[in-house]
Amino acid sequence: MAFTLEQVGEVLLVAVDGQLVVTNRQDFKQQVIERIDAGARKLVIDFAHAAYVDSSGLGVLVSLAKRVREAGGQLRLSGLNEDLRVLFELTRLDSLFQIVGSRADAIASF
Amino acid sequence: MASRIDAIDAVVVDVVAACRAAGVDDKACRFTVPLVLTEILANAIESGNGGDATRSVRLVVRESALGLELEVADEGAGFDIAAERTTPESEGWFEGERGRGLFIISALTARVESLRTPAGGVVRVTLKPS
Repeated sequence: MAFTLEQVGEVLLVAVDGQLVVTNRQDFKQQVIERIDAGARKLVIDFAHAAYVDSSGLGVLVSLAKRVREAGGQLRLSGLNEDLRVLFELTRLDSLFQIVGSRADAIASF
Repeated sequence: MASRIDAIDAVVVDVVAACRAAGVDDKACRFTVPLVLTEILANAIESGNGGDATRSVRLVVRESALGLELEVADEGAGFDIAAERTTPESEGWFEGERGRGLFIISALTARVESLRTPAGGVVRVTLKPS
């Protein structure tokens, strides 16, 4: 269970490894917010190596999307497996995020 | 188990391993069990026990005639599922950080029960058959 932040050109790529849940959400949120506050405006959060996200993790994503939007930036999600896609559909949060297939496509989409 | 958020991950790993050993289907092991278990443990620790680490959380995993059951007991007062459960139609659903857990559990499982006992609150979840 980890995540990495990597600058790819103008895009901040955040890769979730394992799960985004109640036990790591605060650290995740804090690190991403620090980058937004430092000027990051194009963000991709990639779930290609993530198995599941709980309601706390979804809540952090909702919060970060608002923060990025208010800063004039854009947040995209990529690499969702079938289970995660269904989770976003069930919660209708797929309407809140731009969900792109792969991280490469997400980075190229800006 | 200890009533601490940082104790959840290790418990989830142990339960998933036990489910795999017992032949529970792959999707349940990789997604539904760890997700739902994380939700109900966090609820017991944060809401049921109010973040009090001196209180206890008890977890029972069993195979019943209806399917795999996850049961978590805390020392809180219990809660009314119908009163607490929000949905995508609820105000603030697309804005706030919290309040989606019960909806997710209900959507992913066959049955969710909340019981009030003399010892505290109990949440029992029955997974959908594979």
